[in-house]
Amino acid sequence: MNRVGSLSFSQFSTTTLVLMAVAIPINIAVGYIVQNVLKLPIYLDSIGTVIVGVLAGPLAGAATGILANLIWGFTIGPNTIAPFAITAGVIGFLAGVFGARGWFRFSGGGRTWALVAIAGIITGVVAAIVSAPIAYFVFGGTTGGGTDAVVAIFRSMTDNIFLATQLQGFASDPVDKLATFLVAAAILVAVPITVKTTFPQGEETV
Amino acid sequence: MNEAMGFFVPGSGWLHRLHPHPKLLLVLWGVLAPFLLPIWTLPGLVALAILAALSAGLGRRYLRNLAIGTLPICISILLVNGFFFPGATDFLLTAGPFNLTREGLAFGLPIAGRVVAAVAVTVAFVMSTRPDDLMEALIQRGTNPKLAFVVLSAIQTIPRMLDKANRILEAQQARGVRASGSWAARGRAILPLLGPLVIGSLIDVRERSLALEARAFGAEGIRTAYRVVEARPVDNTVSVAAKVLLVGLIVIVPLRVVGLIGG
Repeated sequence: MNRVGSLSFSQFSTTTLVLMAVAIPINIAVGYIVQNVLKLPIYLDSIGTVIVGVLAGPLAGAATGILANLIWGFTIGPNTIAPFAITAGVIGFLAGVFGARGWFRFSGGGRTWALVAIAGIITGVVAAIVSAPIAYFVFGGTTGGGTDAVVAIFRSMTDNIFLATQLQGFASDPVDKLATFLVAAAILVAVPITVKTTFPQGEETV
Repeated sequence: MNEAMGFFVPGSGWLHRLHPHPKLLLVLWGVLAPFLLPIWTLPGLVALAILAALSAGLGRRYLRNLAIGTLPICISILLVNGFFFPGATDFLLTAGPFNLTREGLAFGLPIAGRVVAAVAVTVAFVMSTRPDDLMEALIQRGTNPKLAFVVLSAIQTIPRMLDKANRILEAQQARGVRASGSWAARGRAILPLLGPLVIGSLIDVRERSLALEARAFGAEGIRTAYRVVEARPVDNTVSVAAKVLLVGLIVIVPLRVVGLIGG
């Protein structure tokens, strides 16, 4: 697929729409397993969004991220995540851009894993930059989650509340997105090629 | 709670009868107002939202959902700001190495108030609006039906996906995967648990797409609706009123910036 095509609305094919509708509950179920069952200090709850971005393209990824946070926030989740729909959209968009550039192409071997890791860290840094103003203006820098302890630590180190919020983001988002991208890639390796290529950008992962 | 419907509770109060589109406009106003209007309006906004919900018969369940939705974040806002406010000097209370400061509370209270006001409105909305009525109403006003498909299908798949996650968890535990122990042990369980869930779902996507295509999902042309959401005259009046309120909100912002309205 050419680069212009990666931003075209043709990526919203029927298979993409069904994939989006499945990815949103996947985010929720993965978030539930990782936080409630395994009780790990990461979220991984944008795996579905990342997979849609990689397989279907940046716009589909962005739409999935935004809808996932809104739906989760207004159905069974904590509604404080709804304002972060913008961050989720950016994550899906970036995953789509990296997918379109072939960074998830598994014929690359070790190089692919390095690229996926770099993509995850870049996405995490951007996510932190986008999240901090939302966390600051809507919630005064806290979000009612486990990361509030990190915010408290940074506040005792700096006089600037916004800076403390931003530093908290830099401390936790890149790690989480790195893990998310690596797990998403590990899962995509195991998905049959015939399934991957039914999606608009699937060829780029083979 | 019927998870396929989210927080929706069947009822016949005025909020239930109000057409979803004007109701959505009112919610938009109710979510933006706490952040754009002066701080002194916050108690009034919260009271207004709660009164509206109670007068529509949402009852004790509404208050419970509101408490669940706001308590954790409000406690967090008040604790983190109250005890960790940079440069605060006016100590109200000292607990060991931590000091509760007046400046911190003065910063945190309005933020907590805004969150409560915004959540109070959205909880009333989701409790009184069927997701499929909302999407049907939005399609009538020009929303893409495919977007509505994604939203409704996603909402309905959530409980089934959680079931599937639990079944995979039990199956993998029966095969010896441990979901407890050290961080490293739990970390190793990520792939065996998430892999089958995600891969199985991706394989299902192709079959579901074919089934939808066979039923003319991608076809062009006019669609008829299974559920028809009628707009009554009063709905149109509310719609106009809500738009006026929204415009008022937008007008107030520059006035507040130049200082004509304080607070």
